[in-house]
Amino acid sequence: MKQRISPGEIFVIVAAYNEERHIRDVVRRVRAQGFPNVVVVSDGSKDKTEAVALAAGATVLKHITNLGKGGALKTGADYALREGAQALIFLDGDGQHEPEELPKFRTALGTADIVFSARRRTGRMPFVLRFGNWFISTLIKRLYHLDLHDSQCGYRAMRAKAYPLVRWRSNDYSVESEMIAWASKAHLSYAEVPIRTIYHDKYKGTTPLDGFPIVWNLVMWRLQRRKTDKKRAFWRREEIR
Amino acid sequence: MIVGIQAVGILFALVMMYLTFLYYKRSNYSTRSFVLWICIWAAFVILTVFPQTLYGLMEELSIQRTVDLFIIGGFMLFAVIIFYLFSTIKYLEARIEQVVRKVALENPKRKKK
Repeated sequence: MKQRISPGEIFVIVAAYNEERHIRDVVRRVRAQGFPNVVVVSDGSKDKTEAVALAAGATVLKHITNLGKGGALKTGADYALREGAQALIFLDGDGQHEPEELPKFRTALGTADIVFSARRRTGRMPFVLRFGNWFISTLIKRLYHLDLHDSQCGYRAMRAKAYPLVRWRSNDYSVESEMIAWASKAHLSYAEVPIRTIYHDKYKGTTPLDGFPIVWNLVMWRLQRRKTDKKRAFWRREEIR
Repeated sequence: MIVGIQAVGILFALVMMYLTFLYYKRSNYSTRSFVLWICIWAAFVILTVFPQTLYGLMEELSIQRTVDLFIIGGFMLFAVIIFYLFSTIKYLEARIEQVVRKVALENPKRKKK
């Protein structure tokens, strides 16, 4: 059993790109769950995302140009660690992930270094994405020996000490898969929590074309040996084993 | 006597020389780059007008026609240019990411209480 983390020590990181319609609701609902530290990373938004998030009570980090989801999450996570976060929870700014499920992640962090989520495979997820998700999850199981039911869901949590071990290079939608790759290589303990599937905007998010670089990268990361600095090695030895 | 494809080759090189000069005058690149590209186009004109200068090389490489040499050389040049562009884009991407993230991390905005 790991040390229990209070909601005040958890930073909720929300990547947002032109989300003025949903971001207020997301930030308010997160705070209503008792998580005061909400960091919204506006990834080059051209609408009022930043002003709306700020008014709703979030800390806002602004990317002056769009880097992609992976880049936004990395900026948010780096900031959170600098501010003394003990754990991080990532969720989407488009309202696809329900903040009411945050306590599940906090509970799961009591036994795991990293917590993944699994959207229930209902008719709500478009067929092409459902197939792509199944294919990538199967590939991950073969290559990385992690038994995940939904490898592409971005609603995730991790302990702060796990972050340097999984810190990703991808700026695009490969970020979810890269996290899994490094988590597996670092032998992090993991858990999976079921969540609801909500699709507000069928034109946003991953497309079938995003699947090709993800598959290619999964194979490349498997072959790659990641450099580790002394700190990472220390954590690996003391905390994870 | 200059015929057919040679005339097209010379015309192409002259147009490229003009464009090189134009972009140099717009300060798009340095004098060194300008001189390098002008030399490349001048060499292209010389080799087009006097293809016999390449016969020795073609014999060494077992290539029958001058056009074949140009095509093979062209493909190799394209491969080098694509590799160079790929490297430059990756480098620029990394620099842009660094700047964007630095600006974001140095200017967090919080609601005033």
